This record gives sequence, structure tokens and C-alpha cells, in this order.
Amino acid sequence: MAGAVLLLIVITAAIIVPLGPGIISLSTGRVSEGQPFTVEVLGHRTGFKADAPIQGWLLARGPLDTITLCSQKADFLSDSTARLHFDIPGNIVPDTARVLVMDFLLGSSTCGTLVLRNAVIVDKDTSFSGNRVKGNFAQCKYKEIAIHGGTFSFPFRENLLESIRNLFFHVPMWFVMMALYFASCFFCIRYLRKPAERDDLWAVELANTGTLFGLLGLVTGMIWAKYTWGDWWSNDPKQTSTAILLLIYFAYFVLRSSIREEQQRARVSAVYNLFAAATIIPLLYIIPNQQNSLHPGQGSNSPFSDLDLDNRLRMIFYPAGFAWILFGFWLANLRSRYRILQNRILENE
Amino acid sequence: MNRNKILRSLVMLLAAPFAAVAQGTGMETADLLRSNGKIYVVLACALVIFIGIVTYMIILDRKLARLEKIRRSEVKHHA
Repeated sequence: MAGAVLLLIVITAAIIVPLGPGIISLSTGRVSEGQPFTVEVLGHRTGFKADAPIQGWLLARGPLDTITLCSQKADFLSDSTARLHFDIPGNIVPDTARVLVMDFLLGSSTCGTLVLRNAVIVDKDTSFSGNRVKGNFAQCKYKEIAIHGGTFSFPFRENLLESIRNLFFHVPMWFVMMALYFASCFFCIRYLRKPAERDDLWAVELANTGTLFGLLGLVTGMIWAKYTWGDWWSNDPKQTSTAILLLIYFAYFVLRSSIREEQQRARVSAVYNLFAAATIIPLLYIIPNQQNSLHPGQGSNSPFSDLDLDNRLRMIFYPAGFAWILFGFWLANLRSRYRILQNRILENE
Repeated sequence: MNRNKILRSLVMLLAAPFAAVAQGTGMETADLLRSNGKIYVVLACALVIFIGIVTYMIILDRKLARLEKIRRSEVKHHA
């Protein structure tokens, strides 16, 4: 009951908390040296206002020097679009480079300072023969603009955008699956220590429900992948290894259905279940994290590091995981109770 | 039988938007799911989870109904 209420709160929060402001795209990202550069910015929830000044910067940060260009004029177009005008100096690309890649920054009191990394490429004007910029260069000083009256919001991430909310739907599916599989393993150990039909039924129904959540996680992951990574299935190590894990558990059900004698079935499948549960951690964490993955947490970083998880997300993510796990156990509980009842009725017959 | 029909029409009703998506020219559907900051991707995932869990519950419902039937006939038999 409390679990259902918590799940409701968490899902509501996952949907109604707004996404923070950010830049989705620029109308153009290429300009030549010495040319005026006019660019239209498409923002997301930036809330531009006609009377709130907008300032844009182009920044190239080298190891030793920084090149800063400033917008000369900024036009308000709508609450999420603006047009900025830059003058690109004719000698801005250093001697050693052919192009200069610059970050685009935009600041306004309505949205704070927003960044679009590596957004603008400045081509070298090869006909220019004078001295080129060396060291630091700044048309004006870059200063961060603070946001006025910020609300509680999820962080804006390039490419993810609003789909960052899937963190509260896709990721907990795997938590539930793992929790149920480990619980299933626990009942198998109990069965092997002291055979009781009840424990066998609990084990199989926990594994059953765990597989449901695994499949849901896989399908939601594929949908999310299509619109962020560009393909339904990209043979990402984590995708592949979860598919293997599900196949291992499918084999568990096949094994069960192939043995007729009840006690033998319970014993053999309980032993198999132990081995299946032992593959979970290596398959889901150890192996994929040592390879290059599109998932967060590759290269043996923790997937829950500050890089990927913001405190604002954590506030909802952890309760969400907990609530979904409770929900998964409730489903498995219903199934197990049904199976125990079924056995009792069939025995009476 | 009747329950079966209801179930089938329910599944078809839920699958209809996906069938429409599959028939689209690809570009259009991509645009819908990418529009408004990809919010419809979240909707699609939440729907998949909802449909999955509801289907699971419907299966349990039908199993329970079967059990109730056995129980009922048993009681009748004893009486």
C-alpha cells in the first residue's frame, strides 16, 4: 500500500518536474574568418523576454589560452528563440590550425548561462597574410549570468532533453529484475537446505516476474536508444549481456517444464537458479563496464557518479527505484499466493 | 469466449498507435517522437511498462478464473 503511494508520488514527480533551460540547436555552425556571423538559437524552456537582455559568447579554450568573442547585438524572437550577431576577426584562427572550434554560450537573466559545446567552427581565411592571434584574445570579458528565481528542475542534457525522465522508468526496471532474481535465488537456497514446495513456488514466481521486468527494461531501453543513440539495437555491451541474462533465465523455465517429477524438478531447477543468479553481477556490471559502452558508467566508472546523476535527479531516482522494487515484489507475491492456492485446490481434488 | 474477444480487442486497441507508427513513412514518426524535447519517448516507454504489467495481471486474472471454476464444480460435486 505504502509502496503504491510512493510509486504514484514518484511517477507524478517524474512527469511534472520541469526540465531546466538549455540550447537545442543553432541555425548554422560554420563561418569564415572576417565575416559577420548571424545565428538563430533554438532553446528549450529558456523563457526569453523582450526586456531581458541576451548576451552570447563564442569561446575557444586551449590548454594555455582562451579566445573570447562576444555578440554585438541580440534580437529577441520568441520565448525560445533569439538571433545573435557576431563579428569574427580576420586573424582569429591560430597559425597552427586550419579551423577553430568554439563553444557557444548564451546568457540571459531568465535562463542563466547555457552552453552548447563545440557548436561553431571558424574556417581559416587563407588569403589573410597579416599577424595571427597568439595567446589570449578577448573582444570583451565573459561573465556568467545568474538565473533569477530558479525553480526545481531536471538538468538539461544535450541529446537526452526531456527523455532524461526515462531514468525513472527504464532504469528501475533493472533494479526490480535484479532484486527479484536475487530473492528467487534466496528461496532456492532455502529449498535446497530444507525442501518445501512453498519455497519452490516462490522461487519460480519471483524469477517469472523478474523476467517480465527484464523484458520491459529491454524494450523501453530499445525505444530510448532509438531516439538518443540512433538505433533500436546497437550491440552495446550492456544490451548484449542483458539479452544473454534473459536467455539464461528462459532456460530456467525450459528446464522446469522438461522435468515431470515435482521434487526432482524443484531440486534441479533450484541448483540451476543458483548458477543463473551468480551470472547477474558479472553480466550486468563487471563485463560491460570494462568495455566501451554507450551506457553511462563505462570504463569502470560508477554509473551513479556525479557526472551522470545530478542531485536533483537523485532525489527522485532513489525513491523511484525503491518504489518499483516494492511493486515488483507485490506482483510476484500475488503470483506465488495464486500458485500455492492452486496446488492446495488441485491436491484436494 | 466473450472474455477472449474483449481481451483481443483490448490488445488491438492498445497496439493501434504502434501499428500506425509502423505504417508511417519513418520520418514523420521520428519527428513526432523527437518533437517537444523528445517527451514522447518517455510516454512510449511508460506505455510499454503499463501494457506489460497490465497484460501480466490479465494473465493472472484468467488463471484465477480457471481456479475458481474448478473450485465451484468441486463444491457442487460434494453437495
